[in-house]
Amino acid sequence: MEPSDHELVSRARGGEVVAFEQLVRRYDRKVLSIASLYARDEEDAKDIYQEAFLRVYRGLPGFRGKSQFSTWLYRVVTNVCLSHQRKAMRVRHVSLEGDERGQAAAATLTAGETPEQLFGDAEISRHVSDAVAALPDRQRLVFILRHFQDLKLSEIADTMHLTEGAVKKYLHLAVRKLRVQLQRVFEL
Amino acid sequence: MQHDRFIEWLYLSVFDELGEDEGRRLDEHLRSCADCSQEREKIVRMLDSITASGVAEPSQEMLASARQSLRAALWKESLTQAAMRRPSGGESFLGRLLGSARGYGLGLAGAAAVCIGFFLGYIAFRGAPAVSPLPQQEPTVNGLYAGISNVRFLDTGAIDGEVDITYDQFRPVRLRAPVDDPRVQDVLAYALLNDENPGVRLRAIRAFESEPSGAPPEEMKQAFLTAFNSDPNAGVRLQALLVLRRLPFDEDIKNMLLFALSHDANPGIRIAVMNYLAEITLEGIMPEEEMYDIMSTRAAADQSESASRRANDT
Repeated sequence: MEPSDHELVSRARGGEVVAFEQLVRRYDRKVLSIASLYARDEEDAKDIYQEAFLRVYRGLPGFRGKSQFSTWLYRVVTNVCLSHQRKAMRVRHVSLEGDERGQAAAATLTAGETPEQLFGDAEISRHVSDAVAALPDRQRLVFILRHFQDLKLSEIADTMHLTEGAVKKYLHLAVRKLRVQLQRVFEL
Repeated sequence: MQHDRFIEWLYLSVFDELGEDEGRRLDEHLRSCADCSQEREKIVRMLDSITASGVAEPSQEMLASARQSLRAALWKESLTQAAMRRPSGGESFLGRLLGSARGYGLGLAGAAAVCIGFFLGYIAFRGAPAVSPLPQQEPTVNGLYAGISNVRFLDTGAIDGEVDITYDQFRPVRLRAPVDDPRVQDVLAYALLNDENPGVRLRAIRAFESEPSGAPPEEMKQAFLTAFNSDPNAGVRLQALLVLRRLPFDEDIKNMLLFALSHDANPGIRIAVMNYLAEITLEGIMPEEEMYDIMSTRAAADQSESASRRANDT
């Protein structure tokens, strides 16, 4: 039988590296998925993935198991995502570049051909990625956690230290923006 | 406008996140409002299409690469953590000096700082790097050598099993000790994973080949696995494989071999892995059916003609 998260955490806290590796393997696809949807750039996503697991590794001695391991992990991942974004913003400010993600998504969506001619599978994926990436940070995270990770709004609120009302608002705004961004791609 | 009143509920309803009362009222509205009803269908279709687009699935290559980097980062992290857990008996010279100075007040601390200044000045400006004796009080095993740089091998121990190394760790250090000495193994592991010079990384592995028991501690094995899996230099990866061949075959090694078989860019390494797998199959360590499956897949998928042929032959 597979050991529970709780058991693996206790063993990892006792210094058992293999137990920590098992925890990583159990969740790292999800973490990388969140990171790549959030950051878009592959290297940034891998940075977020690594930083999140390093923070978890460092934080294990202080983790008392009051919340589930997965909730704690998601909390760490969202914090890393948000702080990573702040760092990226600082770099952009220094280099005098604007936030081009939204513009890029909009530009591709106003191209002149019909969706069937314009979009193959890879193209559709790219447009979806662009549209998700163009969402403001918190809206993007809420949407990723709800739609792709299937977390309940109450869990997202707990993870992101927000009220449930705020999470609802972010989700609503995110979906509405995606609806506008992707209407030509999916002929909505 | 009535749609505006229901629009937020509409968006939330597709995620099944509406309360019972809100849901009932929205349903009533949808029955009488074709626009909202149609809008809801479009949102559901959009979300389904977003899921089907596969954007949430990172590629196997990306996952493997992220895992590799994480493994190396965790290794470094464990070095740092072990260094921070340094026992009080092994407290550094600087720590002991400053610690004792605290007890005598600022005056002594100032004097200590002046002494350190002279000491650092002496280290920085003296001529040839002096060689220090084998550090007696240096804490051992894995991790207490963080901050190592400039590793040089005077003797890799091929003849007498004693490795002779110089390196810098705040000061020049020379260490001559058997290769199974934990202090030597710490420096070897650190050099293997961190030194920029592939020649040094290669010699770090070769030095281990004189290890008499052939059974390294787990941390050393992990260093070989990491080097085999992620070193940019094919020669270093091959040398790491040669050491791994001497260790008892287990799941860690097996997984790493299978990963290399499908991901290592160098056909020579892939062929070396096939040879290794063939060998352990002959020895009965790996089941023949499993070996057959692996090699059939490689024979069909390998881009290199020679590697594909080797898989076929195997």
